Amino acid sequence: MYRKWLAATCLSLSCVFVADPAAAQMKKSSFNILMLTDLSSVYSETSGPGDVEFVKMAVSDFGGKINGVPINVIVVDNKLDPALSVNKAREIIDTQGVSLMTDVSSSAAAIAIAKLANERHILTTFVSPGTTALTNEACSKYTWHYGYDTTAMSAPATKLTQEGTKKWYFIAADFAFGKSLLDSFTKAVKANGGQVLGYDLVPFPSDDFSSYLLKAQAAGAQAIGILESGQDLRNAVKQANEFGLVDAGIKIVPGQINLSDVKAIGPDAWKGVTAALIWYWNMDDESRKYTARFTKDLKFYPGDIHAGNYSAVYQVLKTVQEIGTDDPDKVTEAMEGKHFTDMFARNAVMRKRDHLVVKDTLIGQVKPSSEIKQESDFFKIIGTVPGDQAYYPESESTCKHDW
Amino acid sequence: MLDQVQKTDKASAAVAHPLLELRSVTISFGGFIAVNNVSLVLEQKPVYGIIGPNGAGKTTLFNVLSGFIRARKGELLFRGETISHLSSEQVARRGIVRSFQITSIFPHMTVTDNVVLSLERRKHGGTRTFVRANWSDDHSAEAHDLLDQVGIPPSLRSEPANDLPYGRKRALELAISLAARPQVLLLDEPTAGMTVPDVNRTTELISRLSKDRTIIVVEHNLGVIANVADEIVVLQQGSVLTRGAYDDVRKDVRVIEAYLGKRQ
Amino acid sequence: MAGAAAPAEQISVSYRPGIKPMAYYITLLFNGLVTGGFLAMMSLGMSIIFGMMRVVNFMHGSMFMLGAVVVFVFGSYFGLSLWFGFFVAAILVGLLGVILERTLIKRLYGLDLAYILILTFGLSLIVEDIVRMFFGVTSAPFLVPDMLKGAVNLGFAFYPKYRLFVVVVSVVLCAGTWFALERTRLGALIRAASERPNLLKCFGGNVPLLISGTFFFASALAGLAGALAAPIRNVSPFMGEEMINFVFAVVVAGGMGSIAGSVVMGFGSGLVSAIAAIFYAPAATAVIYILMLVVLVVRPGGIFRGIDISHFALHYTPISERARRLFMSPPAALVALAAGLVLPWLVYPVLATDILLWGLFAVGFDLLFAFGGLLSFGQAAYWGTSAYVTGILMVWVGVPMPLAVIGGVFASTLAGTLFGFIVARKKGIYFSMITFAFASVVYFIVNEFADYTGGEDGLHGVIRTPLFGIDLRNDHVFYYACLIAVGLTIALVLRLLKSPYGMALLGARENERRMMSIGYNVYGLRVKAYALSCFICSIAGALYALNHQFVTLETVAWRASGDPIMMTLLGGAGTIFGPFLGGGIVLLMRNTLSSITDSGSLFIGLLFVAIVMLFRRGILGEIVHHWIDRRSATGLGPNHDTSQPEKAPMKVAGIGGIADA
Repeated sequence: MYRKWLAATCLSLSCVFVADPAAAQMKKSSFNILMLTDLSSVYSETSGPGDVEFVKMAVSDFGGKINGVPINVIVVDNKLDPALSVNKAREIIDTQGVSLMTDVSSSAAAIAIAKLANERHILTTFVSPGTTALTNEACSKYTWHYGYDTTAMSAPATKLTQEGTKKWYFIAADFAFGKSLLDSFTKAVKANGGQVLGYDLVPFPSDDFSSYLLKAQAAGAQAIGILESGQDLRNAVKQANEFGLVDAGIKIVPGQINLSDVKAIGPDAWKGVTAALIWYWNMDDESRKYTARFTKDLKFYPGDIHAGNYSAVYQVLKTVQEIGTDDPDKVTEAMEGKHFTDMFARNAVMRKRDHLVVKDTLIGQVKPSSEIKQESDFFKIIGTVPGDQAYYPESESTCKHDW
Repeated sequence: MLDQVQKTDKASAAVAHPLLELRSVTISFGGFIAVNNVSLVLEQKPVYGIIGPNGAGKTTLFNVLSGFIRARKGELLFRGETISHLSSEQVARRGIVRSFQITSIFPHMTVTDNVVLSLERRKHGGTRTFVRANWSDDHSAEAHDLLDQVGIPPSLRSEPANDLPYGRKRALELAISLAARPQVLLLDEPTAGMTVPDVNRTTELISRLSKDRTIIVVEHNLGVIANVADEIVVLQQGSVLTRGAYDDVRKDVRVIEAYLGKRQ
Repeated sequence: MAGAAAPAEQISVSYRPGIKPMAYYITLLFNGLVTGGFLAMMSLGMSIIFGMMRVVNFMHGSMFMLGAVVVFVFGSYFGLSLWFGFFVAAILVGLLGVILERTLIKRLYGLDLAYILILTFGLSLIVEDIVRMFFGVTSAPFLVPDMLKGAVNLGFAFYPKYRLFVVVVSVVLCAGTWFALERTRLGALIRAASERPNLLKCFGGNVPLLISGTFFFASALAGLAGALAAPIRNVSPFMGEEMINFVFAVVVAGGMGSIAGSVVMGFGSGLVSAIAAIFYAPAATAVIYILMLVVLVVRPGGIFRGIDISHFALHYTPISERARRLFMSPPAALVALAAGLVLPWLVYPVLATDILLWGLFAVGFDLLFAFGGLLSFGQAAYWGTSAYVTGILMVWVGVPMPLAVIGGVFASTLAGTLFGFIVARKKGIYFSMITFAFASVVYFIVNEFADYTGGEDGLHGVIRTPLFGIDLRNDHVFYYACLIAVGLTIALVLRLLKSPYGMALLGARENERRMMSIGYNVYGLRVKAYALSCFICSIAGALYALNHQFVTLETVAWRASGDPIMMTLLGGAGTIFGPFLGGGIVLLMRNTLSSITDSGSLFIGLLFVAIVMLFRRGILGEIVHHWIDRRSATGLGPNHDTSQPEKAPMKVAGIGGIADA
């Protein structure tokens, strides 16, 4: 009699544990994902609604629940304002609780959020911003630099210089990202026997690049690196065509490029342009599969930052599921050094020391409009650079890794 | 007592230098010559009247005398001291205070405060910052005295200056000028637009005030000039046409022609 | 910073070409003429509008953008050729200008510049957001018509035909406009309407028609400029934003209302910018502001004497003397203090501190505006400089927090005082533009010294250290510390305003000439006011750096100068506490809208339009006006002297009615 009672008690107790073991170990009662993204300003097309779509897709692929608790996505239009970002983030952390912050448009906002994440122990994946500070002096235990890094962007410079384009001129934005690109590109060119004839740091934003383009031409450049983004990049390339530089055979190499940039001035303006891409919607079956789902809801094709958000959220959720808890320290531990491949990142490593997510970088070339059979299929992938070659070595990081 | 001392000072000063002197002053705006090589000496008489048809240069003359316009050519002297280069506020501090053709008061301040503002400037410089909260009480007695002199009744003194009737506004303007204790008071058409009772009151006020200072009046109302001026200066097209006592000037053929035109 | 330093070998930040043929430089200068052409066309329109209506039209930049958008839409969707596109763009944008003028702008004639600026700024936000919603931030390619494709051999290089076309068109339009205004009868009428609109009415001139016609022309010109720009610039909703700032600088430097001045300065600025691009690229845009500052210091009023606006009194709707005394009274201060004590429990504390500090910043602005009669577009220069110096002292020099704050405030106030000596001689729009240009130069300097300021990454690590044993890292505690600082500063301001100096300042605002005629050194009064304003803004800025523990470029961007203006007008200029209320509303709106919608700009734009059209005294001002002034509006005072038939009836200015003279 007593033994039966004991067995029943043990059985029922074990049921409680077995039934939802993970729920008992989740520290928060819901998994809130806070997105700080630019919904209405200059980066709203490369980030913005596209990021939200992919994050929601990742969440729904998990069935909206992780380890038994519901997943919520909170979206904030940060308008690239660091003060607003931090204020809203803190407010939501205090009132609703946040388990993961993602995207974060604007480098200044990102650095401030990194500090907040460190203070409050909140996992954060930076996808939009490019500042190298995030993996150097602003690195922290809970944050990951997930998107692109300016070193990786210089892959085409390496390739072209190796192939014989020795004389370079750079036109760079007089902003941290421009200077960062300038440094990476200069190193890449010189390391391969090339020569930097000159460079101009141009106010950001600027409308008219004609003078700098003419200077480059006068200096005898074989290739002009346009280390700009957004409107400025498009203006510069549009004007390079206007002045016949492209027809004259000078190679135009952008510091980074998005689908929307190509669309804005037309693929023929980008004739022959090679650029580094961290992801491309048409690169393989995996990417195409997710793109198809994306384009059903939104009427445009996804870019690398959009996809990066899917991957970031997905990988974090997967880790949380695997280890059964949302404890940020444990999640971080599990993520450090992890190798993975998913719809966004191929052969990726979440670097332990500086929390940079290193992955294969593609070298894409813009197709002429005659070869474009599908909407937004602008690129032909002509090469792949493995992550450990594309990104700067872990040893060069100034991140103290004091955790 | 103070008045007598002032008078003695004035007397001795008058012996040494004329009160105001213009030497070959020319003012032009673009191609238009407003004041044409004018040399004029004004002694310390009680009231001068300046008359002349429109465009004669009367207001420009006032602007020069008070430092609102600097003469590029010529000199301006006040009691023998050259003041041509001084700014308007420096001229005012020397003792030459003017009024304006269009009533110039501080519309949103109370009537009393309008006067206090001027008193504060004269007595303390006007830029004191750390004083006790009721600092304006110090000026109260003198302010009310001045307002009595110009005839603004106590009931109106706490109202915004903009609410005063036109005649009173001009009186207030006079009070503001008086608070600065000018030695020379320039009045630019003080009775313009006034009704007869106001004009009379103003004329009587000017006479009274001229006992302690020299007043130079620009006027169109020749009746006022007749009653109040000791000497008249007639301007025409930027030059001095003639000067003298009213009875002489009004018979001068050139003056009649200037106003009424040449007899063909 | 790994990856951020420029390559060590290059010393300059710009490639300086060695000896090159003259043709090379001439070709580069042509670029200057292209840029200059756009600037000239835009400035021309703006100058004409200012001359005619004393309206500074911030929407001009949006009209430029709309011209480009029209040409793009008609070209892409209807296949309209660029030639027709020019006409269509000009006409449509011109019509839009007239509609806006007839419905909104007309009501603000004769009022203070600040209102019209805020109105047109609000409108530009609305237009920008609407265009963004329809077209997105990118565009589709737009091609040059065949006839203008290709290039012309200029000796050194091949120069695009289309650009030469743009230069020719802009020169022809500018010359044509000048000729029309100076040499034709219609031009004479327009010029007469600019100088003396009422007089012209007496002569039977149809002034409203002339005004609308001129507005049409100026807007059409802006639209045409945008259409011309479409093939060579990226078409986007934000196209006009940067452009409008340069246009302001050009118009002011050329002389407000002077056609020749706008054209000469427009082309001149373009050339100067091209020269900078050749020798020192980072300064290529800042140099336009520097040029403007130099011109205004050497030739106040612009290179060609424009319309003399120095005698325009400010016509903003002031609060009455009674209202002002109410706001400066102890009960008002107590109410404000009570609100301040409660705030961090109603609103997130860091946001509450932001409200407090932005409010103080706005009070600094308001001191100059409502009391000094000076509209500054550049107080962010001191808010930001103080924040940066405080931050730099703490982060790079290791100065303890209290000393760093003092250092930041001191440095910034000193800079402001020195600048005040230069700027206090200017009035009206000239004053506003010089302050704007100075703030732009400060932005440029901050970005140039990115090694210390962090550039657009920002300066991080400005940590709040304990003070007198109190841990300031607690946001509530820091709020109350700031409340004490802000309270003391406001007490200082109140003391100041009630002092003889305060009265003198008001007098100078009311009637500058009269002040001078009784011996006041108005220039000196203004320098002091400017220095005090900078002091207040600096205190707010230093604390702001500590509140967020970082300083970013936003603090010296031009929007940061615009925010205190908006907050002040919203809350009520001259009410001391109004700016805090305005700050609270703007910040709360932004905070809330960011979670709700992506059309935040649209709503804020609507808010500004509403303030200007309806609540001109600001919220506090309107409340007090209705409560106090209406009650005592009896029309006749006691002991009314019946021998004075001209007693003016007490005017009660209603909302949107006659401005209180």
